[in-house]
Amino acid sequence: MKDRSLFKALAVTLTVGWLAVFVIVPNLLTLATGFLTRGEPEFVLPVLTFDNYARLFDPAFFDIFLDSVWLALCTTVLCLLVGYPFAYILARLTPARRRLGLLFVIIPFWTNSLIRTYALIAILNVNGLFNAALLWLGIVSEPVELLYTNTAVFIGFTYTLLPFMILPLYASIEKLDHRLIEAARDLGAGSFQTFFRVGLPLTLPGIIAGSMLVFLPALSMFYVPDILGGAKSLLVGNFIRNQFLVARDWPFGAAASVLLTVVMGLLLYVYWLCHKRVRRAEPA
Amino acid sequence: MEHALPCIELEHVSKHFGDQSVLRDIHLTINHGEFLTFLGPSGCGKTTILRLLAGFERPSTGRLRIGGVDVTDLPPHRRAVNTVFQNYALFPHMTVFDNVAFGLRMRRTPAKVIDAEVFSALRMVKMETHHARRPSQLSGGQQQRVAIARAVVNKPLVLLLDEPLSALDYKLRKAMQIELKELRRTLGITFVFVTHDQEEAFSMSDRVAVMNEGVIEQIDSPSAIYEKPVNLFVARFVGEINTFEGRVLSRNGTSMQALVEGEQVRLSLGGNGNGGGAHCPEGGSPASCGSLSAGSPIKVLLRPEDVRLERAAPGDAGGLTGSIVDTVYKGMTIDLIIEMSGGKKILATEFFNEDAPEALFSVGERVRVGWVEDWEVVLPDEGSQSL
Ligand SMILES: Nc1ncnc2c1ncn2[C@@H]1O[C@H](COP(=O)(O)OP(=O)(O)OP(=O)(O)O)[C@@H](O)[C@H]1O
Ligand SMILES: [Mg+2]
Repeated sequence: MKDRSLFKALAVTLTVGWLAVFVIVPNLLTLATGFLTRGEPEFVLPVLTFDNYARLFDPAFFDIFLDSVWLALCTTVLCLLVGYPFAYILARLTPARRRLGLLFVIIPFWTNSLIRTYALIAILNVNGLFNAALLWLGIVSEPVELLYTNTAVFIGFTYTLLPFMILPLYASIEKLDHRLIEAARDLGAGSFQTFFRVGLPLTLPGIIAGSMLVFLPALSMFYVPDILGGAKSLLVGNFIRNQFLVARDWPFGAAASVLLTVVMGLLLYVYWLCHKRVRRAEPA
Repeated sequence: MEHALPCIELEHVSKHFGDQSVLRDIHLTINHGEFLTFLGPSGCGKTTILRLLAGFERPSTGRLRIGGVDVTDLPPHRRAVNTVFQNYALFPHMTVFDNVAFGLRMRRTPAKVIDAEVFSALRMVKMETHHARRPSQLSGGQQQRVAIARAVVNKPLVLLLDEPLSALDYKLRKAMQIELKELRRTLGITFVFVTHDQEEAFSMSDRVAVMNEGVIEQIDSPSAIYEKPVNLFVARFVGEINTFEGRVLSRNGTSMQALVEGEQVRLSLGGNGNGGGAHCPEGGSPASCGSLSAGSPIKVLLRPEDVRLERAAPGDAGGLTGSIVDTVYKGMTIDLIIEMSGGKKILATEFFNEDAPEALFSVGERVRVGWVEDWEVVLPDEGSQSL
């Protein structure tokens, strides 16, 4: 009894301590930095100002933000469109093949994603594999300039984040009771109706979880746009990074970062609400 | 039934999964309005038959007709059958109302009609007050009713029920059995029911098909299955039965003399009279009574309740005798376990007569074992058959 309460106290202290040191304090520091003034040698001057947060409403920044949201949204949708059928087929395979399929999903993680992103340069190049394939298939008559555009970033995001969509989708599709699908068919629903009325609603938790896991990183990831987007595509992620590392405007970078955190927090809240609704519908 | 029109016809249907043969040459007609039950041990292929009828599986060979239409190649959603699944399979993300309305919505029924139909189906199963609940907020019995309402609201030609009551406790199961029978009466649709509970099969069905390892061993009325089993498997599967080995000594017309457990006894072969009786199966059992002649090995089957016991007088010899080794009080009846002279143990069930307790046998008493003439079942000894 006593040991258990001691263990509990220790576990709670450790968790709270961890959160305080690595989550709460850094976030509070960022929040506070946003209210300070930029200084040359020492990065921040302790002079209170609301300027940084006000500058977030600058149309220029707003455009960047909108671009980022749009790109993240497109990435999420594409990942969903590719990931759902993939996860569905995976969940219907025999156990042995299923393990093999999952292995294929996970193998890319064995290589650092930075390196994989550099590899994408070689593929998306004017002389790269992608263009060669397009030419060979006759889709284009001359190589397209993909690299250093938002399309390249889009491809990079989708490639990098697809497994994060597939895995939660797979988990929820595999959990789906096949007898419910049969029940729907039995009651006169064709494949289409069965999917939209039974399959889709019951795998919604997986869809929401996967979308979160793709959308949130796609909104903030900076190395992919850095490598594949070049100077032409500025997204929130590398904008913030630039404020800190290039423009040396820590307070403004902090303010932008706070905005991103707030937006993600809101999305997580929406996720939680959805999840609660779906969960209530599930059998106890 | 009222109109003996074929509703379901299975023509030489068989089903393999890989190299496993699950159904073998099932040939069967089910009439309109009939309540047919498939009864058999686990794994004998009962669910597979229902899944073939519902359209979730395709037969490996043979054809299926429902309502005169060949449905062998029709997908499930285009068949006029509905299933009540064993685990109910209610949609967890929908309310009771939406669950029941699902089938009607799929057929684009106008909303007003749906409303009326759903409520009338829910009233029928006494669940109308729960229409706004989710399946997870219902008890097992209530979910069962919703599952039935969800199926019958579509007015199918056939209702398929796969062990729909097996998850319910004894009392609820009894109540639901009565409700199902009632429902069948009011709806007049064909019921195809699956169970491995013999009592349930007998109490509900017009006909029972006893299955074993992918074949239908016997299909008949419950009383015929019980009283005139065509083989040992059926006899043993539906209730307790005592088996004696014997050999035919001589035959004359409707009776024969046989050596049973080393004693000479008279067995009847007529099968008229008291509704029971040993009989020759007409359905083409592998070895029919016709093959019984002097010297043939036979099995004599006797239900415990058909056994008649008499106290054996001390000097008495001849006939089957044994001694009581145990008595089991069962309330209405009392089970007596008798060890025969040859060492074989048999079971006899006697009614408990409160007015004459002295008529009861007690442990250690020697008894003469007989039976109501004509109620014994004589089968050719198929040798290898065992349960
Ligand atoms: N999809 C399938 N693939 C392979 N084998 C199957 C499949 N479905 C059923 N079987 C096999 O077919 C046999 C009959 O199964 P079925 O489910 O019809 O039995 P059942 O009579 O309903 O048994 P129970 O009383 O246990 O429900 C079993 O041996 C089972 O393993
Ligand atoms: Mg079954």
